Amino acid sequence: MADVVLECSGLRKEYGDLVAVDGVGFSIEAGETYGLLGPNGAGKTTTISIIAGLLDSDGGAAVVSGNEITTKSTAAKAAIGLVPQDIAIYPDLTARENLRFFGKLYDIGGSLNERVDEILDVIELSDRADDQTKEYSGGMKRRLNIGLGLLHKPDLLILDEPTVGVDPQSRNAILENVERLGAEGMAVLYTTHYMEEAERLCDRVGIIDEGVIVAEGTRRELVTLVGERDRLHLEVSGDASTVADAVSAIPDVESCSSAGSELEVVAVSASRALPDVVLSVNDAGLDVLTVQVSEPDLESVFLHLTGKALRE
Amino acid sequence: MKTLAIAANSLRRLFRDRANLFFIFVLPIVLILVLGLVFGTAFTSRVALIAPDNDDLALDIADRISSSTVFDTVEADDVETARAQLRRNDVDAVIVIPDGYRDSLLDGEAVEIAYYATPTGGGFDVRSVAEAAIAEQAAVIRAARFATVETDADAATALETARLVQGAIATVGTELEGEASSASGGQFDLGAAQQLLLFMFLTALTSSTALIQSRRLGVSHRMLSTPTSPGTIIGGETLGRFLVVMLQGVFIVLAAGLLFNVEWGDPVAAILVVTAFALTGTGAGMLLGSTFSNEQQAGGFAIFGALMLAALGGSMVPLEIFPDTMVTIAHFTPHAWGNDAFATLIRHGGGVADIGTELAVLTAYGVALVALSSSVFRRTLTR
Repeated sequence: MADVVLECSGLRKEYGDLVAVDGVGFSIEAGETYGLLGPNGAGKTTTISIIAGLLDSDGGAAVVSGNEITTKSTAAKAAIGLVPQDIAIYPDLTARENLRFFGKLYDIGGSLNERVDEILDVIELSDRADDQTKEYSGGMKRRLNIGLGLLHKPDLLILDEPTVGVDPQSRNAILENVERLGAEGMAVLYTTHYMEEAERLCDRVGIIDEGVIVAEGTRRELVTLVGERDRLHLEVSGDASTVADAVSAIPDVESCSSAGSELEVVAVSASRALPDVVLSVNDAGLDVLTVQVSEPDLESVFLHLTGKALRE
Repeated sequence: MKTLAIAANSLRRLFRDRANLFFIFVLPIVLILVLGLVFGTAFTSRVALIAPDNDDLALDIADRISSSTVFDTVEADDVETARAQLRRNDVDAVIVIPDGYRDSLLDGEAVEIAYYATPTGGGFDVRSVAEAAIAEQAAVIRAARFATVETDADAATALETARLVQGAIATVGTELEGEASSASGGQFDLGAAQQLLLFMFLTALTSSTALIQSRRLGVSHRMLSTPTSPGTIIGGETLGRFLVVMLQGVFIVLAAGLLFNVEWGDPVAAILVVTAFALTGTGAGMLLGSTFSNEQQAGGFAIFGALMLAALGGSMVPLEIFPDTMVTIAHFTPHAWGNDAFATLIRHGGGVADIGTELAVLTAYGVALVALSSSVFRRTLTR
């Protein structure tokens, strides 16, 4: 079992009568990317603010790399890199000056200049490193925003909706970077309301609504939890009803129906069932002309669990 | 070290904007020059002296006053003309010796010598010289009166005898100590002090917008997410603004001294006043930066507030012309205490001991404001 980098339990935060976060708990291991999904106002940013040491919680605890985090706990903060939703950079400083300034706050010390150059390479801003950031495009600012969180090689990287307002090219670059960081062993806490990002990046997902984590697990576990199934839609070169019974008998297939030359298959796992389905069709002397695979996404899981769309 | 890094970052950001360089360093010096030229008191005060021509005692006292090297005397035709000159600042004081001065004195009657002056400082030293001259002549008059009563001598003989005797006895003189008290100060001196305080406070308040920008952009929160305590962040931000205001204050002091020969008095005392005032301004600026959430609103409030406090505290017009009630109200502003301190240093050659009260009040203001602003800023950081 990999090392647990973040362990939080029972986190609670109140603003007067409003309970913004109510008993939130989850953990993230090294190399794991954990997605915190929820609509605006669900409690994602408050949870992240507590974990990043920006807010003191009213209850519960968050431990990062063995150190409990509070607004004053510098040891725990040294293990965290925060990429806030806002582009939190000085517009009147250059990228290099921004990086150098925060590098000093992260106590990077003698290797600061080398590390700044490394980060500038990673975020592909080396050629604009000495321009004031107010002259940057939105995507360039976003990349610098992320670079500042990576500067001190944190154990835990927290990304709070890092792709909001980013062009597709920069967005893809950001997602690739996050994938690479996870592969290199960094624990990543990623919040988004873009379902496709969560599905692409996250090993596990926690769904938060009204300050409570209502479900947690891998995408597959969540889909199973709510009873959603994969679907295969095949067009074959003849009467599909001749193979419907054979397909229904495949272990991963729950049901199969036919209409003319079309087969509609409901499976526990489309990817596991598909080869057997194709074999069955071929055994019946038919060819598969087209295949459409539709897997239930987190959007439908979220809708099922909370009764509301993720972007509400 | 992190405190210094945050402070240095504030300075770097401030001086990156060329407009800030103009407003912090150039504009105050230009205003000191302009205001000094337009409103500044001449280095040598000018006094309009009106005395009856056919009165030897009146002419005697006029000679005594005119012989002073502290000021120049100018002729005036009549009292109304002289007072008009005073209102136009053509002269700093008017002294009027009434008709029948000699006869009234020798008859033992009280004589009133009218003295008019502006409250800008130049006329007060004239008054001292006039009073000394009157006292000196009064001694002779009293001797003559005594002789007249005791010896039945006529007044003219008694007066002549008294004058002869006066030359033979020792006189008790007064010596004015220090250069500043022997004159009303340089043309730019008090104006420079007033502008110094006005601009230091203005800079302190307007620099609050950078703090608001940091909060609005989330940079302050990002700093808190690093292994940096809230206290270090608050200390760094406060130190950065204090250094900016101090830098401006020291620059104005040095530049005004070099360019306009402004005499700031005791240098240690002057720097202590600048430091205490910078602390006060820093606290006020940090409080503004911690409470407002919009740079434009804060910028407007900063300019309005700085100018209002400057006007109220005697940095636009001297406190001396304020009515008593307004003087009391003025001393709720740090500017009034700063102006009092510089007036003591510049006009009267005072030292640290002479401005102890002013320094204590300014420091108390500064400490209280910094403590309050730190508390408010901490809440904005961690809520």
